[in-house]
Amino acid sequence: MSEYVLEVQEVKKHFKMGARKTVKSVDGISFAIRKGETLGLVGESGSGKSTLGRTIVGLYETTSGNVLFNGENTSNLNGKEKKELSRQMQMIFQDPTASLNPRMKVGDIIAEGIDAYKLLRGKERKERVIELLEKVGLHADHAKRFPHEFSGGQRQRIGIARALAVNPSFIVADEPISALDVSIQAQVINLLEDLQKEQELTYLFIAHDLAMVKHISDRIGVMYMGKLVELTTSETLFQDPLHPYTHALLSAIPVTEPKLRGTRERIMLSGDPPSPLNPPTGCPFRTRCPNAIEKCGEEMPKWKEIKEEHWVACHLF
Amino acid sequence: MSHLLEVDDLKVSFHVSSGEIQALRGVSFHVNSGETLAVVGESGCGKSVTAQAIMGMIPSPQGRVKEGRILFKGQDLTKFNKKQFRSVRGSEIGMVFQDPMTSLNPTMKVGSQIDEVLVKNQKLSKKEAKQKTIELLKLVGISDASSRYSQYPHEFSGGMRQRVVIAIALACNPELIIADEPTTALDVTIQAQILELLKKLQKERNTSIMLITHDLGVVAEVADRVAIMYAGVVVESGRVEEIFENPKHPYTWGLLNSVPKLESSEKERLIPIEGSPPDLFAPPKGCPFAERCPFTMEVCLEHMPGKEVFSENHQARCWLNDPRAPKNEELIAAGRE
Repeated sequence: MSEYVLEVQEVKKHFKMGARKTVKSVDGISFAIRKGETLGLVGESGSGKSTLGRTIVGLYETTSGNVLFNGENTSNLNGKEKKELSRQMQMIFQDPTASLNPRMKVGDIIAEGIDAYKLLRGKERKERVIELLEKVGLHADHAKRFPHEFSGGQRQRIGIARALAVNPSFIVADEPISALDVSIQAQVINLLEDLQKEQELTYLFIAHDLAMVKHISDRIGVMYMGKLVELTTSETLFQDPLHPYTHALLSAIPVTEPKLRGTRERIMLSGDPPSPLNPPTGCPFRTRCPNAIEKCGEEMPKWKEIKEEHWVACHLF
Repeated sequence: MSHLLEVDDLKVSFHVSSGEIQALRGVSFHVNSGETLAVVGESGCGKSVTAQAIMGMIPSPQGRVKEGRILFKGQDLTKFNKKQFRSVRGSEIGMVFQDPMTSLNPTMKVGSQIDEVLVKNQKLSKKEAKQKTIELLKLVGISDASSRYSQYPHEFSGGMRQRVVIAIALACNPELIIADEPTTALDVTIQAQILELLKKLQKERNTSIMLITHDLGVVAEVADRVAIMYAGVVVESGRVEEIFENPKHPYTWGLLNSVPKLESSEKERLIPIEGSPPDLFAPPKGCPFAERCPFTMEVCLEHMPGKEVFSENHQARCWLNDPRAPKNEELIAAGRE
């Protein structure tokens, strides 16, 4: 068995818009995640990070390319194997209000997966729900209540308990804290970190809050217009970024203290990302890139490992 | 010197079928001319209700200003009727909302939406208004302004839409702009552009900005002074350096601790504030933060702390700062760390 839990190979996910137009939300992405690792994924809205997450867990079918889970190609599985795979991979969503059924009791929401896979019944099922509630910091008697009776942070805990109910080994967390208040975000992040240690979980953590992504991730991938432009350890990404887009992204983070005001050199990107319906030729970032050269308009730079553990797609390297 | 805006002991309640929500329970702060005041707090702490009260936009009949004064250039806005508010709103106080898509009319050309403000408030002719609108669009950094003038909001990106909203707020040269989470819906590269724009405009026009946000990074970036709100009261206020370097309230310590430090290279565990804010149907008798505070004393549960003043601008409402409180400097230092 390979050292990777998940391998993504040249995955593409294109959406048809009308008869002729296609949006290439995810356009040829390759990376791999080790067991017990957290891979962070950052990028602006519309860069395709959520689509990638959803494609990996199988909510979307890939247009082309392969997703390998524990070395097995997920598209070649039969029905029974597919079901087992979807138990192994769970997802935590951004908006804890929209992702919980308002007419279901919390206990039944958490047990949804248990019921679907017929894992436990009766008393055992009830005990498992209580165990899960306590694991995520809620109380046993919360099982009888409805989602609207909980605060945002508590609802996100319910979403986490539901994901954990079927004993997954891999979790895609899609902006799990961006709808929460600052003081509550830290609670949820600590919970995710504790659970990872306890149950040897592997995370794909999608977010746009760069400081939080740096905090939780072992490695970070940067996306732009459906492509991965840089991937390295979180320390290297912040200390020695290579891609011009990563530079701009990092320089835009607000300072953490007023006395540091003005100490960070800002690379102001001109304009907005190009329309995904009409992407530029060659490198998608070249229209805003301060260092673009002629070659950037002609061909898409190759995705290559420049140093150990440091991947980048840019003609300058 | 008198302040441009002074909110004094403002109390606002909402009456709903299940009782009375005391959204604001005695809020006081001020904004001087030409400065940026950041109002910080979690959802439900009353920061947006405060803005609504200043703009005369509290939904009635459920919501009502019960007590207190809002002095804008010496006039008490709480005494204003609808017509008087209309003469202030837009022309003297501009407003920028969080979501630029919902604050623009999707069926109206962007240019006409700015024209409308100018025609109504400044009594310009349509032709003059169009000219001024194009100038405003240029001012907020929209390139190709004359062709952008006749486009619809859906043809603009999120950052561009927020620039349009800022242009509308600026149209009548207001002395105060209230910006309610103006960059929360935007990406970080666009957020940096918008903050830069607000700073530049403030410098050029000496406009005061009341910036409502939950993002301490944004506060560190642009604020001159800060008011921290919790459960309908201002628990600490001061100059931005005082708040970040010498905070006096445990809630402020908690907020500052719960965000990861970009500068640190080691992986440190985050220190969250446990629990959640109190229910404002039945706010606690004493300090509203007592339930979540690691330093709670008996008095905290019984009595609301008064204001302790540390410097001209810096004050906090916490019993730990009372001269009678046990002087446990180590404990306090530990909390601040």
